[in-house]
Amino acid sequence: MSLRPTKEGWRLGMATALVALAALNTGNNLIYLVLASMLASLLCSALLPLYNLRGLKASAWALQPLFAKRPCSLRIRIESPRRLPAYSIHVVGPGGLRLRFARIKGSEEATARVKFARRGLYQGMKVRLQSSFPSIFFVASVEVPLEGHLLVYPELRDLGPWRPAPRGRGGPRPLLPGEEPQSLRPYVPGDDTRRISWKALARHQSLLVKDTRQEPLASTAVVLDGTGPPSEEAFEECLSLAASVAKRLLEEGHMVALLTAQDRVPFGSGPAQLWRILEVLALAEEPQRWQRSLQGMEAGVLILKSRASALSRRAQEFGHVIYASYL
Amino acid sequence: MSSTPLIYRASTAALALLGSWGLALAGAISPAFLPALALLGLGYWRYLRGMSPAPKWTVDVASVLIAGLFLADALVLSADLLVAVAHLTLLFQALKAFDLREPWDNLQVFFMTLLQLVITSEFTRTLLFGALFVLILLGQVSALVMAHFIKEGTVRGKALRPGAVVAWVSALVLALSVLGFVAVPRVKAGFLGKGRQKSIQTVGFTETVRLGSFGEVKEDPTVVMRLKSPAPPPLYLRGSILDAFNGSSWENTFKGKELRLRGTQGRFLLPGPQGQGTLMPQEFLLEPLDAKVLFGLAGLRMVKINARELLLGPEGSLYLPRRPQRRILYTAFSAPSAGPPVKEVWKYLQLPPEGMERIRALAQRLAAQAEEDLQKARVLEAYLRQNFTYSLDVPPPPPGVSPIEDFLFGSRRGFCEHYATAMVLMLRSLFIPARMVTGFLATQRNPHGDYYIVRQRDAHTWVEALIGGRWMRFDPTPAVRLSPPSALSLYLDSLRLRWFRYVVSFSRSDQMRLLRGIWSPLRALPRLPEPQLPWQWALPALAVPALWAVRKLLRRPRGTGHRLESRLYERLRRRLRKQGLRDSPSLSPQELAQWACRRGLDIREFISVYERVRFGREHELRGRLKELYASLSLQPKAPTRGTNTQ
Repeated sequence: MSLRPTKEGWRLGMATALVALAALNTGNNLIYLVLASMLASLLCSALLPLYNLRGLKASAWALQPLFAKRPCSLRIRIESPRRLPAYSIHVVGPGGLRLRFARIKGSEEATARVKFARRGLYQGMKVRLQSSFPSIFFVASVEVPLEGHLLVYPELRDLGPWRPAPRGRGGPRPLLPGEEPQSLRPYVPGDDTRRISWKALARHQSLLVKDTRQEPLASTAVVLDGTGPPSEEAFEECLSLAASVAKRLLEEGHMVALLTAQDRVPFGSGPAQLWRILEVLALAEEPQRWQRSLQGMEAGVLILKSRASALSRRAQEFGHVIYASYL
Repeated sequence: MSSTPLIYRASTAALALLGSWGLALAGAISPAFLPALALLGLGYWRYLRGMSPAPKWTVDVASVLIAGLFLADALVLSADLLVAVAHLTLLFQALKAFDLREPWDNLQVFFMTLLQLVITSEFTRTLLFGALFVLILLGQVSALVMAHFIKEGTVRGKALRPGAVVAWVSALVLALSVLGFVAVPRVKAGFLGKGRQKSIQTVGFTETVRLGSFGEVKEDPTVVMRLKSPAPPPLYLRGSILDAFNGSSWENTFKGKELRLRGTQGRFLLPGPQGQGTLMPQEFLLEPLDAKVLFGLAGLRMVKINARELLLGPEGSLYLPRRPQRRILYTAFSAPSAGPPVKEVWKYLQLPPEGMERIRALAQRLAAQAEEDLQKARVLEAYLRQNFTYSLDVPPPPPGVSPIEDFLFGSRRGFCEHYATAMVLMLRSLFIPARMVTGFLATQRNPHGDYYIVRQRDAHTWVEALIGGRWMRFDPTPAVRLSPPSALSLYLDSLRLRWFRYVVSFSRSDQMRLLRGIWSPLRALPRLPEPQLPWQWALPALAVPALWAVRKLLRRPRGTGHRLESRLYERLRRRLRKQGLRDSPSLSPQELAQWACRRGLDIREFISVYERVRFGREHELRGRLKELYASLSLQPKAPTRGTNTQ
């Protein structure tokens, strides 16, 4: 715990010193009385903020998926074990977290807008609780652990007009056991009502039918090679690009797989596949070397950290190659 | 301003009014400055109604005028710095009432009220100050708590219940104030100026006392002392002894022949016969009188008082070396049978040169039947008591007639001085040594606290006659029935006594007594001698905060405060203003960088780091920012030779 006098606190301190001088000079008990009241005010202003922060616990959880460099909402809960309420508690934490609780008795929750600069798993975090209650003369602050962990996905970028190739090198892929065609099209009069997707109706608020005449889904692999000279910034760019490309591909109806130096996400489609890919990318670490096989992945998108990355020599085998260091 | 809650505005107004009115009631404000109180009221009336502050220029002009007036006041008008400061605080409060714009303005009012309270304490120490103190303390706590919630922006939160918060914080501050008041070591260094407590004007305790002067105070209810003693009423509290009468005034001819008494740890033993009966204690709380005399029952044997020396007159009167500036607390011990040996008896037989024939004849006629001196004295005392009318309305005597002759043979009306003087003259005309004693007659016992209240109107004179080698007291003044004081006034007086005893007169001795009482192991320790030099207490008391401040200064290198970035940025702006920057509050750091760039100055990196520190809270870059500032060259770069400037 720390305690810092404010500008007004210094002023009151100086005024108290002057009154102490007057009391010392005159020996007047009434000035001693005024001095005692000023000392009492100072003492209360210093001790109550410390007491106010005693025993407080903080926890946090995300109300929506967290993406790097994108504002998002975080729910913060402060618990107070004391019988007396805690007043005017400020919470300062990672991601520009700034929140104020006017009064906490038992526990209180509030939503904060935060923006994390980096993706990754945030755990063992600490937040700083501050309070100057009941006056404006001192600010006490304490660092408390923030219970809970937060997974921040890589930044999703707007890829602009870029569109993936509508095919994969391997041609249509047969449906896997238990897999159903995902393609839906708007209902037109004459369609068999038995083919209306009721789940899609609930989701999109419009009638869609399962189109059995569609082509089998294109399968595109996203290969991320983060090897090469260490550059945290470029690697983060790679991750962000990989996430954005995977998202675009999945939105376009592709089957998407992800291959990195350490992990592999097999082909899949739909939102669940996106979250699987994002989770791998959120936790990825900058690799030293590439030792994985590219079999079956060559038709996809290759994202390279730099020209010195291991797969840059095989760039011509891929449909799309993106160099993060040139972005 | 209208967004400020009413309770906050009301607390500010209440504090300013209490502080200023307190000064006025304490008599610190000259009548010429009293109209400022009306201005103050008007200003706060406008403020509470949410009206806008006065224009800035009028406030500026008024500030200059007030500063000039303060100088004139301090040097010429009142020629008293403290009074001038009191006037200044009043004028400041009045001006501020029209100029409350920012929350800091309200804080200035709070600080000024504290200053006013400190000044008030130098002018009055009555219960009024106590009431004022409690009200101001509560007002300040509530205002400060409200200031906190206003700063937080949560003052209007319904769940907050600021009233309850104010109540318990006020209780805590009040309790801590009491604790602090008791615990702070009492020191009086007296290195600047003197106290300015007004003394109560008394009569009868100077070298010369004009006959009839007691009539001026006989209706004055001002309390001059409070006394605790197991002695039954009435208590004749002796003050001065007067031995010579010239027909119109009494004189103490022993003045200047006093014996200096040195005390041991505040105890003064008076010379006289030892071991005669039990000592009667009398604990006095004496108001600051304009006399140096110490009062006590007859036969004073010992006095306990916080003084280095006392003066003892040959006639037995006890004096302080100098006139007291504040209340005195002392305990006197008397042995009724004791008394100093009588010196210069012939002085007590002196008579005025004229107008004694009729008085001597009357005395001889009255005492004709009595054989012994005591009987003669009793006869004269009874005669005066029974045959004269007590009255404060005494007409002046006819020309050529002395006041005592007129009293005895003319008007037959008078008050204690007339009775006592007449008896002394009659006794002396019978060759019985006699003298007049001035003092107070304590009869009013307050059941709330079990003590005697002695007022100015209790000033009294009586007679002592030397009979059988001892001074015997006679009081020829008939008893006068006074209406008893109301129960409320008695209760209020007991409050006053507690206020004076436990607050105004609280001393190091009280602290030591309290400490011994609370900390029982200390009881076994011998009594600690009280330090004679206040610095023995003051230095350790000052050392702790001084060491703390030094430690803070040493631990906090200059220029690393949380405002470093702002200070550096402001310095840079000042430097650029000198180079022609047309500065404005709305100029952003980036605009500043662009302006500098156009002038050929490269401050982009500094601005970039400044923004990261100031707004991104990357405080670890402060060192880098300092380095950048130190390396800034604000000389426009000259075009380099060979560079294509297109």
